[in-house]
Amino acid sequence: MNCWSCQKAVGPEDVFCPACRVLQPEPPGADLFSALGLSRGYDIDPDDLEARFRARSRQLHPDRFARASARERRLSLERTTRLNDAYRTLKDVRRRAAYLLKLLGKDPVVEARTLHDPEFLEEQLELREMLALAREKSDQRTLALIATGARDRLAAIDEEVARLFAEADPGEEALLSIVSALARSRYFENVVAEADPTAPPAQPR
Amino acid sequence: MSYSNKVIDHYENPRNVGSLDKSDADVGTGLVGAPACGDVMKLQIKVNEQGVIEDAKFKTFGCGSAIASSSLVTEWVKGRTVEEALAIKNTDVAQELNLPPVKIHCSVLAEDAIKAAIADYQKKRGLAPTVKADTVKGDRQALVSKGVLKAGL
Repeated sequence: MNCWSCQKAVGPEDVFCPACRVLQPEPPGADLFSALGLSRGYDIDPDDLEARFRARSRQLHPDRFARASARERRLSLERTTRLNDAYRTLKDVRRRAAYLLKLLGKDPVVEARTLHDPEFLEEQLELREMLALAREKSDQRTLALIATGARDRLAAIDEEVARLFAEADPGEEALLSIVSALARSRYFENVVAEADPTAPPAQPR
Repeated sequence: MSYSNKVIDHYENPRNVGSLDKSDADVGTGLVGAPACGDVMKLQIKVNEQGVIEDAKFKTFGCGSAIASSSLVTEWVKGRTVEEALAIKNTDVAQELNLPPVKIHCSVLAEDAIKAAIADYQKKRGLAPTVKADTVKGDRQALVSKGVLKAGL
């Protein structure tokens, strides 16, 4: 690739042209991982993610380009928007997993239409009934127990997803197990949200 | 997003909420979920000797559209034959309730629930299923048969 301004060579990782220091567009086909300078993968250190986000935010901040050319001002806006999107998506482990699945051709929304798993759904039905009853009676103790139980299940699901992604080359079966795990996690997220009013609402993926 | 009056009406005054005896030979139970939003929907039908659905009950934990879709479907299937009930399409539900595009899947869930309930009834009665209980299409079908999706989907 060449710099749009001075035509000198620019590497795919270069945010600025090494020769003329002008802001570059994202390379074509770049994903949200590369927006943060990360390689595609599930395993991300949260502190590293945070540090990268802060550093890039400073680099790309539109205030820094107030006096720059129109093209650079636009690029700074575009790349900042994209960076924020990347940070939001990758910070949350379940959204990250869903995004990664989509990149790997297993969009969880497309894959998981109607759930036919009587055992799991029966359990969910019971749990939601218990929850409704406890809410009606303002039974805080039961609500807290339900919330803790659901959080434990979520932690177990997150561990399972991490383990499956850590496989050397997750095949079709592993990917579909992740789709399935994410589907189950959605149920427990809803339970937590209902049982604990202080919990943040479930995020769209 | 705002709900249509019909959705609000079904949400505030849901018809036929409750349960039928799952072990009754005349009762078919459909239990389905929408993994994208974590909804669970149980729909039950009681079929008489003439093959007419004489009672229907539902229990749904989900958004207003999911509750309204299942409530409406229980109203519609009562008094219909099993064959007639199978003709109910999610598009009919979506149209009746004026569901916005993002809530179409709620009507799909209701259609899948009634199909699953009928399949369960037919299975109990030793009848050939008109539709497969698992309405999931495409390659997922193959994966279910291979057992890959059994764990959760």
